[in-house]
Parts: sequence; structure tokens; C-alpha cells
Amino acid sequence: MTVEGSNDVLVALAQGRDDVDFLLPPSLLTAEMEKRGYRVISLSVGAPRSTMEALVRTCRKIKPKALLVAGPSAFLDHVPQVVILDDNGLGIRPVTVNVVERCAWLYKDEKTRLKKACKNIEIGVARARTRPIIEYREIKTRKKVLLLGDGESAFKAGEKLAALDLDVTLVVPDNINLVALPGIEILKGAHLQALTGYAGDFNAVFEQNKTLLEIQAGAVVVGLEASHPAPEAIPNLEKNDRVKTIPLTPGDLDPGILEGLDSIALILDRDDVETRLAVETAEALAALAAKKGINVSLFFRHMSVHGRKGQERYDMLRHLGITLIRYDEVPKCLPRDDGIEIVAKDAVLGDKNLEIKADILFLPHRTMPAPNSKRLSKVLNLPLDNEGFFQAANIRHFPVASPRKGVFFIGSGHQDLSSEEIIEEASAVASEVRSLLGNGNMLVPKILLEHDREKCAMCLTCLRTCGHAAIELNETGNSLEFLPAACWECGLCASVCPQQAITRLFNPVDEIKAAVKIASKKEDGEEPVIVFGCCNSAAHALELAGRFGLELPDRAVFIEVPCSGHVSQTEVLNGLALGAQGVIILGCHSDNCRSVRGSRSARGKAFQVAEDLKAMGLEDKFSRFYGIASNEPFRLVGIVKAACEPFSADDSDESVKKRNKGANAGKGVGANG
Amino acid sequence: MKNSSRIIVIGGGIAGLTAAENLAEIGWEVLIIERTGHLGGHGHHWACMATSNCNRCSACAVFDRVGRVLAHDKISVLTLARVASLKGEPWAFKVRIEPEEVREEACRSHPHLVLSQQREVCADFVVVATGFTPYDAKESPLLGYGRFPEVLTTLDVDEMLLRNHVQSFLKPDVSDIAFVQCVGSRDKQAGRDYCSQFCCKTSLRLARKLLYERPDLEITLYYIDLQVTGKEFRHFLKEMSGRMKFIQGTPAEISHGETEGKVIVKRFDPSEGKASIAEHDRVVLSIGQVASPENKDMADALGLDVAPDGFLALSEAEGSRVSTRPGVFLVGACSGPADLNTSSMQALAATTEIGRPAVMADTYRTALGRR
Repeated sequence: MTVEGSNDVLVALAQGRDDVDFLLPPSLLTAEMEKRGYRVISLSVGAPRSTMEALVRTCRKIKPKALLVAGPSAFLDHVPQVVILDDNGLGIRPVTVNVVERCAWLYKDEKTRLKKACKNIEIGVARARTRPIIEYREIKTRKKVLLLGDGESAFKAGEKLAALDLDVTLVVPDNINLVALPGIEILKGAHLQALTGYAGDFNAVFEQNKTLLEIQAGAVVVGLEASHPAPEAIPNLEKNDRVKTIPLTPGDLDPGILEGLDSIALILDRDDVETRLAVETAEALAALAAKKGINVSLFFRHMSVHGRKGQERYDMLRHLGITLIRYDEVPKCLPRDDGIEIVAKDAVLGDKNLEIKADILFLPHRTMPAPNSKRLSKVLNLPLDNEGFFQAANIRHFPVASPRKGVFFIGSGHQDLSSEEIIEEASAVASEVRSLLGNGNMLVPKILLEHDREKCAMCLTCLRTCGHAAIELNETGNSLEFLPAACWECGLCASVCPQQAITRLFNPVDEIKAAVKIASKKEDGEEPVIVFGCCNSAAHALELAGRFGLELPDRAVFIEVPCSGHVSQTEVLNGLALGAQGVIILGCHSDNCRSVRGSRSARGKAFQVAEDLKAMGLEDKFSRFYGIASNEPFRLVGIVKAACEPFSADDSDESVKKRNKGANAGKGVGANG
Repeated sequence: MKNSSRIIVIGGGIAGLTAAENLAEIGWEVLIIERTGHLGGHGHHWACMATSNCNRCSACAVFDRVGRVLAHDKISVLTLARVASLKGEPWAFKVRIEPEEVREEACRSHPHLVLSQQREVCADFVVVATGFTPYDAKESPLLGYGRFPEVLTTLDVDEMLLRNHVQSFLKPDVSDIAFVQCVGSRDKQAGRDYCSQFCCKTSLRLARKLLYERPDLEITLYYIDLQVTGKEFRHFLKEMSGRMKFIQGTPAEISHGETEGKVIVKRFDPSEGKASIAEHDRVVLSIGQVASPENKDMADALGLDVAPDGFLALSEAEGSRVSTRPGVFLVGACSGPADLNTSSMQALAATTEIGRPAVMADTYRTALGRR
């Protein structure tokens, strides 16, 4: 069989030796692909990097329009982020197909392995052929870092950033008194009003004394501290001057506050577990007092021993003879003429009431989100976490990064940190900024999306959906601007556009259509089930499945997408129209999507299609979404298997039970589940 | 003249991968030496803890890193390899690498990344990220692990979840599960006077996952002090406190009950001044992190020091990740218990102590696409 125009695609098979490395003999695969009319070259996987160099040289010589690389995952992982550039900045992005973990390891007999591998390669070729050549350009990155902060974290980070040769501008509120920090420019009393542009070239607009100020910077680090309101007053002791507040950090402790005292008490964890810095400071105060011969009682619910030195500090308190009382119920405090009486029940000692008298009662500060966090989160276009602190709780961006490239978070405004971690985090952010800006330039695509202004209704759905702030309103406010340098290529904007005004150059609908067309070829009379899998989770899980020797059913056809949000309803319907029995979208678990709203959007789309199918009476077709993580290979195979089980006419209890069990394992949404 | 400036990273877990990626980004040639057949470290053993949403165990984040590291044109990887010796000084280290004895798990490793024969490589700096070993609960014989099938560790339950076999743990007759914290941690007598940093979070997430599978389960957690750290964890603890029982004080002994398939958890109850007992269907021991037994050999090979608790010793310099040997940095759990987040932060911190490479090696031009 000759495939039309197959010579414009170069198929590179990365292979080992016939006998040892692979269960799929390379010579057989090469012969089979050549028989089908493809231009094939063989790559040795022995040394992936020199092989990649050889591949680049070959591509420059024969100038294919598209490139497909097939091989084992460890080799392919070298490929997908690589763009093969010619001297004019034109780049080909190879499509990769895993023929080892996804074919060779999965199927028992050689014939099936070969058949599966060839089919997967052909799907890849179809995708590669629709892939455009993308033009790249080099952009200069600015060395300036805007550091928003008002405390220890920001000052430490400033120091570390400056030490790495970055130009730091520290933006502090009016009321902060600062000693000059070497190598750091200081901007006082300025408030961020807008942040546009992309990593390497942000444009920040500040308001300072009612005038607007524009600053260009390569990166933005938000290091604002949490706010620390005074502790909530204890009933009967509202205005008692024997109740004092513990300073914020161990460094702020003044031994003078202990002058002339015989006994002190500290109560932690009254309404919530204390922050780690608050515990550290309380411990330091207790130790200081005990060393002066003062009687110290420390009440707490959970003692923080976290951190390398946590247990050491706690042991020291015991060693110093401090009375440590772990309570279940918050102790009662009563005013007395000569002090404060604290009545508590020790969680361990049980019913007996302990009565302890202290000259002074110390309480820690409370910790709340930074006062302007809500406003700033809107300006940055980055959501807060569920407790109102900076940086949404998404592990993809831990510890200091965000879905917006070039914007980082540090300090107590985003995370509960010990004094040790404040320093570590400052170094960590400096390292991240340096690896972003340190080289002075970045290679970015010139254009990734085509936006049809005629079709666009300016509904701004894309702008609201984009988790990476890669879409902006232009200056006049009547058109949209797409920023390739800020884009993570999840394709969510295009898949949610109700007008279909956005076309992705990379991985457009055509690519999936072409893939689906080949994937849907009926074989052995069975209708295929198309599985769209996110490259950040499901694709990893599938590779791991191969390693565990797990098979996907023959009917399942896996198509890797950059984000589950990439798949639009049209694509799901296309797949069904082309003959698939069902479509499964496998995305990341909710709150785990790198592009923030991708998996949630995919879930909605799958559900919508399922509803439509039901309304149309197409009971035998299905559309489902499941959240899956990279380390869930067994669950992935379980889900796909359950979906591929034929709906047999014989609905015996046994088969119903089996099917229900399978569906249960998935806990997804959709019809027919 | 050297044509490239190279850093050797020993260990391919989260800490090593993070360090490698960041160093490569600023132009270093990095070689990762991994003892096992795969990258990702313990990430391969811990299961996903997501229920209806992600519970932020971060185990899957390791896989993102593996992909990015393998894709980097400045990083090379050698698996089933170990470092035999380290000679020289910063900017002129000589590292001897030997093939590791092939273990069973290597059967599905990537053949082309495997080191086949001994070799010596030059390096400017060395980053050690060899990680920890999970505590072997059999070392606490009174807790009954290995003697009673009803007693398991968090790692065992994770393994079952990973293999989608959780039903074999949550059999229909199981309705009452207890978690025991600080197994192997906070034990001064055994020389492990430290908090293992991750087990409170692990147990609570696991409890939530089990409750998601079986909402009728009764779960009790025996603890010393709950360590509430990490994003939204206060929130998480509050939610869990309504759904399970928390009991202060960890048990001294676990034994078989009179009823078939039940275990008795015995602990000292000071309020009554005597031992109190409780019956549970299953007990899950929340095991901590222990210094790798190979740390001593590693320290001998690299000329480092071992701290009294068995972890590799850092230098005295405050906030620095440098070891007692200049030019050798320690990141992650090889220098003390650390969770995933802390490990990657330490790795990033170490890279700031290493400057930019003197000679930039240009291999082939690539652009980062999907980052």
C-alpha cells in the first residue's frame, strides 16, 4: 500500500539491537513501514544525545515537512520539547510515538505487536503531516526583577537575587523603614495596578503618590508577608495589661519584656494550629525566660516539631524544666490581683484540673492573608488558595512558581514557613529566576494561534479561561492579543471559543481528525474507543502501565493531547461520527491541572456530549471524563478496559456486576457509566 | 582545555532531578547517576491520593520532572550505576562510576541508559541526592508488623492503592481502621530523635482516600503531635476532624484479639493510670524516614561525614547546602528527613550556591516548546 505524499514525512525509528533490547525486532518494523511507503531512517538509541544531533543533521539535509520519531519512552522523552530549527528560525516539531511501552511490552505475540506499532506510527504520521512549521524568534530577556515585599522573606530573596547578578527593584509600602540593601533599588509606597506582557518582558504599572509609573521587568516575585493582627482577646481579660503579645520572629525578641517577672505562661493553638514561625518564637521566648530562672508554662494542642531542628528545640524546652501542657480544651484564664490564673486539663493527665498562676500571659499573633491579597491576585490574574493566601494550591507550581511564567510567590503571604525555610525559599526563587532570565535571551514561537477577528464576538471567554495570562486586551480594548511567549499551548482557549474564532497552529483540529480517521478504521468488526490523554498525567500513566506489563484493550486508541482541555466538543463528536463507539477524555484530577481550568473544562465537555447523546437516543455511544494521575497505571487500564467491554446481549448478573465494578473503579462522569 | 563544564548529580529522585534541571537551564552539562533502573525515586512507590479532587500528595509531580530532565539537551543519565570514588577538588573532581549489581527491578529499565562498564568522569561540582530509606516496621517487634496480617504500613497500603487492589485491604468485614503515627520517628533511644516530616500528611491523606472509597469506615489516628504544615493543611485537618477520631498518645503494643481478624491496640492511658486497650480490624503504621544504610559507604566513597543519626552531614555554614567537603552539595532526604516540597526547595537552593559554568557548551539548538 502506498500512502499518498508519504515522502514529505520522515519516520525515524529509534531502535536497539534485534536480539536484546526490544521485543519488537527493528528490522521487521523498518521493513514493514517501508512496505507501506514511508521514508524511514533508523536511529541508534545507544547514545540519545548524539543520536539527536545526528537526527538534526539529517533533517537539515533532507528538509522534511514533518517528522515522526518512534521508539522507547526514555528516548522519546528527549524529543517532544525539541524543535528542529533551520537557519531561518523555522522549526519542525516532531510527533512522537511510543512503540515499546505502548506496543512491544503490551502484546504477547509478535504479529500483534507489529500491527499495533504500525498503526500507532501511522496515526502519528497523520498528525505530523498536519503539523505546521512554526517560526521562532529570539527575544531578549530583561535582567530586572520586581520584588514586592515588606519583610524578611523579600529582603532575603533580594539579597540572593542580587548575588546572582540580577537587577532587583524592591517595592515596599510607605510605612517600612529600611536600611539600604546593597545592590537593590528601592521603590517606596508604590502599588501595582497592572501587569501585562510575558516572562522576560513584563510591563508593570504602579501608582505612586497618585501618579502612574511604568516599569519593565523580566520577572515578578511577590514576597508580601501575611498580616498578623493581635490575638483575639480572652473573655474577662480584654483590657488586662498582664496579657501580652509574643513578637513575630525570634529575632524580634527583647529580653526587656521579661524584666522583674517570676512566672510567665504561653498559650498556643487557641483557635487554630499556630504557624511554625509563631511556635518557634514562642519556644525562643520560653527558653529565654527559663534561662533567666523564670517559671514558664507552655500550653499547646499540637507541638510543632517539624523541620530539621524541630525536635531539638522541643527537647531543649523539656531540658530547661519548662512546664509543658498539652490540652484538648482551650484553657480558662481568670484575672487575679497578682497575675493571671490559668485552669487547664492536660490531655494526657485527664480529668484533674491544673491551676497555674503567671505574672504575664503571652499569646501569639494571629496570621491572616496579606491585606491586599485579593486585589493583587486580580491584578496578577492568579487565583488565591482556599484560605485566601497567595498561590493556588496546585502541586504543578509548587514550591514557588505560578501558572503565569515569570511570576513567583514567596514568604508567609503564600505559605506557612519556618525561619529555616524562609532562607531556603529565598534561594529557591533566586534559582528559578536565574534559570529563566540568566541566559539573556529566550527562543519563542512567533505565532501559535490564528485569531479570526471577523468571527470573534469579543465575548472574552478565552481571556477568562486562560490560566497563564497569555491573552490580553490590546490598548484600545477592542481586540485581543495572544502572547506566544506566555503560552503553555494547552489549547484551552481554542476549544472553548463559542465562535470557533481561534485556530491552533500546533495540534489543530485537523491533526486530531487525521488521527481519529486512522484510529477509527474498523478492524475485526469492532468499533474503536478513542482515549484522549493529557500528556502531563494519562500519558505518563500509560507508559508506566506498559512497564507493569498491563495491556490496553485492542479497541482502545490512545491519542496524547497537551492538556485535556485541548479536546473540544467538536473533536469528541468527530470521533463518534467517524465510527468510534465512545470517547474517553483522561485529564488531571481537579485542582491538579497545570493550565488551571483544563481538566474542569474537559469534564464539562464530556458531560455535555454525553447528555446530547442521550437526548439523541444514541444509547450505545458514550463520552466520559476521568481524572487520572501519572502514578495510576492500574486504574487507567481498569477504566479503559471497563469502557471497552462490549455491551453483550446476555446481561447476566455476572457481566453486570463486572461492568459496575469497573465503572466504580473509575468514578468518572458521563452517560452509560 | 575542557570542552564542557560538568556537574555530577548522584540520585535521580525529586531532589536530584530538580537540581539537574535547574543547573542545565543555566548552561551546565549535567550527568545524573542513578542506582536503580529508573528515574523518579520513591515516586514509583507512592500512590495517588486524589479523591474527588487532588489532595496534593505531590507524588505525580515527580513524573513531570522525569520527562523534562530526559528531554533536556544538557542532561545525561546513567542508570544502574553508582559512584565508587571521588578524587580532586572543586572544578577538578574525578569521579569513578561503577555498574550497580543488576537487581530484579531492572528488567524493565531503559537499556540504553544503563552503565555497562566502569568509567571515570571529570566534574566541577557534585550534588548528592541519594534520599532516604523507609523505616522497616519489623524493627519495632511490639507493634506486630510482619507477625499479624492485620498490621500494615502506609507503604503497603500505598502499594495496594497503586495496583488498584485496595479492595483486598478494605474487605467487606473491615469497618474499623487505626493509624499509628511516629513509627520509627521521634525515638531518642533508637537514635532517631527527629520528626520524619511527611507521615502526618501521608496518614491524613490516606484516611481521606479510604473514607472516599468506603464512607462508613471508622478511622482512629493515634498521634503524638500532629504536624500541620503545607498549603491549606489547616483547612484539611479541620475537615478531617469531623470524620475521624484523633487520640493523643501512640500505642506501645499491638497484639491479636480474641475475635478472629481483630487486633488489640494497647497503650498507656495516664488518666486511668493503667493500660487501656482498643480493638481494630486493621492497623496502619505510619512509617518514617530513616537514613539510608548505604550512607556510610557513600560517605567513605565521597569523603563526606555522617551525622549521629546516620544522615549525611552538612557543613556548619548557616543556610548552606554544602557538605563537609567543599564543592559537594547535599539536597533532599540524604541530609535529613524531607518531604517532596522541601526536597525540591533544597535542590533549588543548592543551585544558587553553584555559579554559572565557565565554558558554555553548545550542542544543538533547541527551543523549549511545551514548558
